Amino acid sequence: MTTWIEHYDVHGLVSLTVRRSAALDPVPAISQPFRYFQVASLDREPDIVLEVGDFEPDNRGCYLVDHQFFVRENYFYCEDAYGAARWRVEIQGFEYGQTRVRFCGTFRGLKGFVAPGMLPASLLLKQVVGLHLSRQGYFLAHGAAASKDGQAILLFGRGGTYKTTLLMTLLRQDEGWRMMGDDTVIVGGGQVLSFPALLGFFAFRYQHLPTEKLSLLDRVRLLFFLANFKPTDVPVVDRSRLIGLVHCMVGPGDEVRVGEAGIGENVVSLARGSAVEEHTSYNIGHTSVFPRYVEAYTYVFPGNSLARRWGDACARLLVGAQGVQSLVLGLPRCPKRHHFSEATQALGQMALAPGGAEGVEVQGAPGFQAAEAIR
Amino acid sequence: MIHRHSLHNILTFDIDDRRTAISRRWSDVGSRYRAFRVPLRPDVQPDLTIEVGRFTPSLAGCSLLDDECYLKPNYLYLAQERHKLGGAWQFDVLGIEEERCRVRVNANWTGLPFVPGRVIDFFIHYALAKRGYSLMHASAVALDGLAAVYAGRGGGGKTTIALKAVERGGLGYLGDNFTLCQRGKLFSFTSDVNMFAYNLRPAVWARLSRIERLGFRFWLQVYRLTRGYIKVLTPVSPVRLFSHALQDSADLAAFYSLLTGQAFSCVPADRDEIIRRSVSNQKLEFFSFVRYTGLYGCLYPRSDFARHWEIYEDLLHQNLPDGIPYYQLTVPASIGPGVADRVLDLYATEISSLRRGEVKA
Repeated sequence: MTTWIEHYDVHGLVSLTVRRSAALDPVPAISQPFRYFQVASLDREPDIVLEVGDFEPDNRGCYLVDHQFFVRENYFYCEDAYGAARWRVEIQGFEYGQTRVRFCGTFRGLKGFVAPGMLPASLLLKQVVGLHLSRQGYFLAHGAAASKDGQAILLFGRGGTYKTTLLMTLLRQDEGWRMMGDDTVIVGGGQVLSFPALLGFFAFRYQHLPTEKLSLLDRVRLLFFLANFKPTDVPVVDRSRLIGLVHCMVGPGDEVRVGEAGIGENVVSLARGSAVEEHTSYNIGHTSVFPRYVEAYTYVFPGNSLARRWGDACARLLVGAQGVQSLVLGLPRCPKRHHFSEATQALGQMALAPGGAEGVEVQGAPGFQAAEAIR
Repeated sequence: MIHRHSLHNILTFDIDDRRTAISRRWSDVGSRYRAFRVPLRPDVQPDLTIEVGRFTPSLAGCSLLDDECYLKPNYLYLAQERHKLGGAWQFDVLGIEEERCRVRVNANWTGLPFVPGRVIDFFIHYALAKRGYSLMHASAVALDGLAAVYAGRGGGGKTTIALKAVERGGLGYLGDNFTLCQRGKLFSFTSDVNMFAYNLRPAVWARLSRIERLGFRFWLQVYRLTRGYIKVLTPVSPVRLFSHALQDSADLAAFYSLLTGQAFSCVPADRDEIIRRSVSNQKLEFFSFVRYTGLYGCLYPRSDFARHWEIYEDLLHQNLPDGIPYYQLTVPASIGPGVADRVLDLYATEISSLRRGEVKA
């Protein structure tokens, strides 16, 4: 049986090997979200091994939680289903050591036809990489980051808050801004490291669309675009100093509003938002798959390090956040093009004024309870 | 149709079902709380109101998160929550940070059966936590006014143990799925017992009506035919089943944390660890609310709702006494009456040694 093997190296922090026994997908850009990090070979043992294909679980001596989850120390196995997807997954090295994920699943319907291999990547891979990053003292932040002259601003906020569109608008202004990631980036030690997962999706939007919203026709065009996409087509900055945290929101109100926020407030919001992001699997939706696995493991081993990782990330971020500017940015619910340029102007001034927020228009901003609650 | 419910005069909640009589017939959302029903007195305000039926969310001034969650201070609206078989529901909460709150929930017909377990139970848990009481996903039995708690996840044997205790006689029943605790004192939570093939006892079967038995068999076949995809539990009121064994409250004397493993074992456990596990148990029970509290926390990180799970953990530290024994009880999968008997024997021994200790002292 032929096996396809891919290797990935995430900034020398986490290395990953994927083995597939099934044939490759027609659109690998969807099934292989981390192609930006792909390397020909690894010079060390991979931290994470993902094996896709049928397997026999080694779940002897496990505790059983909720009739479904098999847990023993450093080990997890379950059969699970959501919507049109059905899968079995085994995670060895859940908490420490090398992590070996074995995955066998099917995805019915159009999405499964277009990209049959996307299921493991969508449900687990990003989260498992996130676990390994937190072992190293970094964390996978849910947000878009743009860099200019070695300085990065991180736009974060829940889904649908136009982080990607703001990033696109910044890049299009062409004042030296480069992208680092449109949905996730790595944060740690006062720095931002790029994590451009599904880079092709961003490249398509950036090159062809006014905002991030895709129509049905756009989705078809996207497929053709992805078939020919090379990760080298988009310039990405890999490492920058974190100088600004911007909490993006949609509503209330019909205008763009920019206000200062407490740095502590924004750090907690970023960590909470990134934790909530683990409940979301791209292409499948808010399924809470991975967090439930971690919680089932935590039920059996309450003192484990997985359960503490968000609190730890928050504490580390706070230590490294001295001198980082901190803003709240509110967009109207249906923003127009001029709203985005207005918003990105404020972001541009942020980079001009390191160490202080002078020059940034600060309004009374009623409704920004996030900023008020800390006082 | 409004029903007023009271939990030991600690919490008063109304379930106001505004749907048509036909849809109420299909799925009576409030029926599982019938044991708590009290006469409706219009001059007394309930602590929690749950309205079932169509509603218009108050979206003015809201921020939108994940394209489906509308937030403003004190307010949360979830526009679409989905489950199996196209089941979907939406709900909003007014006064989420206040002493009294109002929950409005609407669901389609396949979503309705999930509303009590997925929405209403959480808000009862949440309202109790606001008042300093810990609702725990656990069964509890009492012997001579001293109670044992059996906390566990689904399939852990909570119901089997509680029902076995009633069958043995001499033991009081405080709850099979939830129990309520404040400062070492346990209060009963006698919502309907959810029966399924694995926890059905002959004594229970004998008391079911013909229609209920037919329904039970029917849903069991559906479960088998769909290979576990459709699982409908048969709710049975404990008041009807064993009113003689119901006990209102008791002092907590021992805490057993259930794990489903291979061989039977019972070992002393660390209280802090048991408390952390209880938080995890509660999170898994209301898992969608882990996401909702997280979403609310993105905007209002210091609010009580955002910090709910931390608050719940602190509360358990206050409410679970320091001086009682805590055990980790490992039971085999598919716990039968024999194992439940052994578990209860352990507790009887615990109580008698406790009594001997008291006499000596």
